[in-house]
Amino acid sequence: MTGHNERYLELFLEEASEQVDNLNESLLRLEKEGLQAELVSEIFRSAHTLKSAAAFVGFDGLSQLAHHMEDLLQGVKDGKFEIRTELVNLFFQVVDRTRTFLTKVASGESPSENFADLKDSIVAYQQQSAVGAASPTAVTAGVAIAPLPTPDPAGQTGAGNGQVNGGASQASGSATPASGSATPARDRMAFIDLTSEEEEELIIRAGSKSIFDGVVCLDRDAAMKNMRYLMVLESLKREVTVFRVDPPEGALEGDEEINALRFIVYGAKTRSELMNLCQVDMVEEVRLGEHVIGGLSKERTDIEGGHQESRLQSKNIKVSAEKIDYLMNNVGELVIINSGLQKIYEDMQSTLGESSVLTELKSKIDQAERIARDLQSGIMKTRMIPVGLVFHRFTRPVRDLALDLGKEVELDFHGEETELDKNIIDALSEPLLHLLRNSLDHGIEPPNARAAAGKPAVARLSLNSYQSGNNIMIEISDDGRGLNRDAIFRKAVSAGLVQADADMRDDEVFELIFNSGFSTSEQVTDISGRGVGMNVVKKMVEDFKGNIQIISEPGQGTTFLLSFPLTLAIFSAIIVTLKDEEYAFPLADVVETIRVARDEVTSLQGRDIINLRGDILPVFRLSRLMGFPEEETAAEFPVLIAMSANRKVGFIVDGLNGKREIVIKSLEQNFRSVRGLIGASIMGDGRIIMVVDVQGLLDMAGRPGMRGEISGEIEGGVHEGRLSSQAAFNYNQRVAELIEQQKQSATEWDWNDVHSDDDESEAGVAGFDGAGKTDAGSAHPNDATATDSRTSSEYLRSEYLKRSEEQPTPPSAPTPTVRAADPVPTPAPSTRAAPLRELSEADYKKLFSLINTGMTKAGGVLSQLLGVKVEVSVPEFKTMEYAELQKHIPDGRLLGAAVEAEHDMDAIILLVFDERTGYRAAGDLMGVPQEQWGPDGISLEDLGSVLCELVNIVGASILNELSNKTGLSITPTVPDFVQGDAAGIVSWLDGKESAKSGLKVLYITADFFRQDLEFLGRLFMIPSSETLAKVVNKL
Amino acid sequence: MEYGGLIPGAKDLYGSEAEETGELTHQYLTFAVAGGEYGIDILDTHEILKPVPVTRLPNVEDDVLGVINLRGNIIPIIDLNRKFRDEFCELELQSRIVVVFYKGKYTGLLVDRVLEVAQVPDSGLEGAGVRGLSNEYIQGVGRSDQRLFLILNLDILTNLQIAEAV
Repeated sequence: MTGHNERYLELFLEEASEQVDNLNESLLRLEKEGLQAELVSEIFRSAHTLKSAAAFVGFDGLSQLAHHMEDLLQGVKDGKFEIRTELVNLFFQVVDRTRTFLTKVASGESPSENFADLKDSIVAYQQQSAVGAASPTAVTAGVAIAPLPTPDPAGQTGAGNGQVNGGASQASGSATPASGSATPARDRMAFIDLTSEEEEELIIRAGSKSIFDGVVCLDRDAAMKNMRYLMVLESLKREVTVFRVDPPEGALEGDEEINALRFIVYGAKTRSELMNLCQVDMVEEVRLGEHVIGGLSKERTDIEGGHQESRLQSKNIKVSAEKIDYLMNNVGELVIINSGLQKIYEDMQSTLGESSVLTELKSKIDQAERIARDLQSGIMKTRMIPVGLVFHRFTRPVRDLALDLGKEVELDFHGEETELDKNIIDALSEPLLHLLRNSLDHGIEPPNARAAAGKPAVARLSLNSYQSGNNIMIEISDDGRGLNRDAIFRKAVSAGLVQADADMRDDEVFELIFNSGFSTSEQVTDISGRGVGMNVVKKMVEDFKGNIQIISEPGQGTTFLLSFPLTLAIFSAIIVTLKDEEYAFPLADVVETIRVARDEVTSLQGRDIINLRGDILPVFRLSRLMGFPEEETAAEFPVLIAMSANRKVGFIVDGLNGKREIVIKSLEQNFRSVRGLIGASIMGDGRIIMVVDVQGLLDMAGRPGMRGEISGEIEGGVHEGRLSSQAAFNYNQRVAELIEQQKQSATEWDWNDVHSDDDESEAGVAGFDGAGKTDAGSAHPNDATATDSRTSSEYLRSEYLKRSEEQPTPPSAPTPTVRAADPVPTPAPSTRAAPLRELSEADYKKLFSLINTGMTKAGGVLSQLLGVKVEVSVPEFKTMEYAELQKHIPDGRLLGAAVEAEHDMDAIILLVFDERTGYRAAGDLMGVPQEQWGPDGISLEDLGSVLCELVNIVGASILNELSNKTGLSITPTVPDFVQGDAAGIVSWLDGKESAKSGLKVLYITADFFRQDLEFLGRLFMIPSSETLAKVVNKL
Repeated sequence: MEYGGLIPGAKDLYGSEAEETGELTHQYLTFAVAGGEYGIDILDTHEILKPVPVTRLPNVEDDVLGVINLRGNIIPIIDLNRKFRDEFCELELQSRIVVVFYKGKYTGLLVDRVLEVAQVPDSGLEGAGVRGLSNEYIQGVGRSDQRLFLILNLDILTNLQIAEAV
């Protein structure tokens, strides 16, 4: 036996056990549903895969067994045999024996079984059971000698071990091992015996999972034995499937005392894991062993018997690709977030300077980043398996076909260890087989023709795989006659695919064979049972974002070059700049970067070229390929030299911006593919940059009208692109302007909105309430977005928002009179600059966060009531004399409403509106028609009650928050309303009880804005310093 | 929190007449684009964003303004102005990106202004065929109170696979 590479062995085990499972399932269906061509094909395929997988790792015996099975199946397919129990049983035997074999391999043995007995049975069956000459007795005899795996090719039965599972005639056999070396079975600790039917059922149910027999025995003196047994059983049930339990579960719940619990379970658990499950309190003895499948002479493992868990089970698990993709995406996010953290660290460092805490933070960030990267590459690797696995499946079909065709062929492999995504590998099998068949059939000449052409009689067919940049390449090449360009062209013309006078390059002509209208000639044989056309091949390759190219030289041979992208790769990329945009070039495609002077670029046959140390390379202007308009070239520019399909090319860019690790995100959710791009990548700061596809760019550059050279005319295709570049540019400029405008008008335009606050936006349309969601991020005083109570349902409640032409305040003039007189409102950062004398830094922060939350909630409630988004600016804290209050109340005719806080806290909460806003708010809420919003339409009484209600809501929100957090009793009084100017309002406040109670007062102000534009009102919170101290102490 | 009862007229914020008559109503998010009023089923709306900078996608049709990063998802932004009247959106303060989640994918629609959530009773919906509308982007007409709006066909609008064909 050849020395198998450990890794291949594992892959083999994985593959083979999958096929065994498939076989099992299909066979059962076959038995139940009878002969179905599709089903037989499936069984055939599984057997075939098993065969080649076994051959790949050198298990010739198994490979031959599978081959015999194939033969038998071929008979079934051809109608030579009927489906009947004997036949299915025979197949099951093959499956079971294979499984046994695999288990041995998995446990580290190197079984050299050749399955001679089974093969003989199959041959016997074939001879005797052909339709019309059925001889059931002979079949049974065949089965009877089958069971024993033995190194002896003569197929002797091993004494005492003749337990046939699934055998047709043995109905009452016992699965107890007869092997003399088994642990002496004490009665109490004996495993459950199964009949052969049960055994069979168990095997079918368990599939490839490990089966264990077990006995648990409790201490003789243990109390509540039955309950304890039940506990063991329950814990087993949680982890594995219980096939059989003795005594039955019902008995455990009864009163009769039970001495031992026996069970047979299967699942993806190892013996030691099961052992732990069985260890409850007062357990005296546990016996646990891998279940012995009938006929296998392996000893049962006992507790003392060392561990013989199936390595097959413990080492490999099947995971759906979807789950891995999910993980992969999340890890990608993690990596990105880490870069974000990195940036925050840098910001902190630049503002706060060096400190040991920061250094520690940095080291943690670095650590997290490393782990994230390890995770990422680890997850990626889980999907990759060597292509050799699929290559070796072809040895036999190629040989068979060559024989059929009377051709001599040698198939050789290169780069079998190249790893490729499992999904792609699985799907590759058929298209590759088809291409091979194609080469054999059409490419390789018959021996006499080869001799005449002076070629060696034995043709060479080779499969080669390697990595090139971010692609995995697979080449299928022959040394045959090559594609007949003229014949293809003629056929294409007659099929109406091209014009007879079309001027086409060779490769373009070759491409035609992938056309669905281009049927290949009669298939001579059909090894796998299905024929696929070249168009199907192309489609299958493209399904995996692959590409297929044909290189053919008359008389020299043909090569089909398949390339597949590495899935979801993280890789290093060179970032280049182009105007205000950035693009990433996969580093693997980049050879070097150089600087080139304009006069070093010369033109050759309409193409721009440069001379790089003696190499003549074509150069393209990236800006043109990316849809930018023509522009004067700088005197000197950076050129990125890339390699694609063994060809060096240069791309002229505006600048180079270093190397970065990127994670590719596909754009294919929305676009099937975008020319010239592999995808996009999200940078640490949330920006997106596009990742270019060098080959795609070259394809574009090669297209008429899209030449990317320095000289040359702008034609059709570029025009559209130019517009798009202009549109995006204009749009972004305008966004920047608007953001600037917003900043100046003191409301915040939340730049990060779209990237950050998950909680709010995720809630999406579903949440109409502004109130519920606003407190999520409001705890941090430095975070400008914290008070931002905007939610994604921003406008969804805007029944009351009338069309803009009807709005009293045009949006372009967002500052009503109230604002003009008031220079104060400044966004977040200022709050930190003025901590209060009376409060420690920590107290200040706590209080701030509380008030902030309360304010934000109030904003939310107001939003809900007014049906428009009400935003609250970050509260501003100031200490000042009460007498200064008037300076902070806006000028003009005002409406004010106030509530007082009672009990444990004295405070006034005052909401001030300018008159028009007050009327509008009231009108809005009362449902008064818009034209009547004013003193004429709304009585002062109504106005007062609405505004009082508003201040009540706001006040209650804040006071509730304070009350909840401090445990103090703080309740609002009945609100009060006043109309007048600033002085009037202050004197009105003077009359209030709480205003008198403290000499020094804290002023907490926040502005409320409607739709981030219009100033609605200003809120003052005026607590007395005395009671504020009380509140702060409780925080 | 029940403030509705405390404020005169506040109840009307929540109830709609249609609800009272018992007729089935649909909610549409309506917005203004190029002087017209359009709507989409509110259930297809994912969120509404203020305009944020986009990253341009080269070599696609120009009504795809670019892509944005929506919490790790890269989603395309379509300029409906460009789509409907062949002019680019003049971005204003009220311009918004309506993010739709339709058939498993996100797409952002750049609109001039978001208007309201319209309650449309069954009787206020008409298929496009009735009105003889030929525009492929329009799926029908909705009537809310006295106003009409065109219901967008998200099947077509969010299908950008066409865009690559430039």
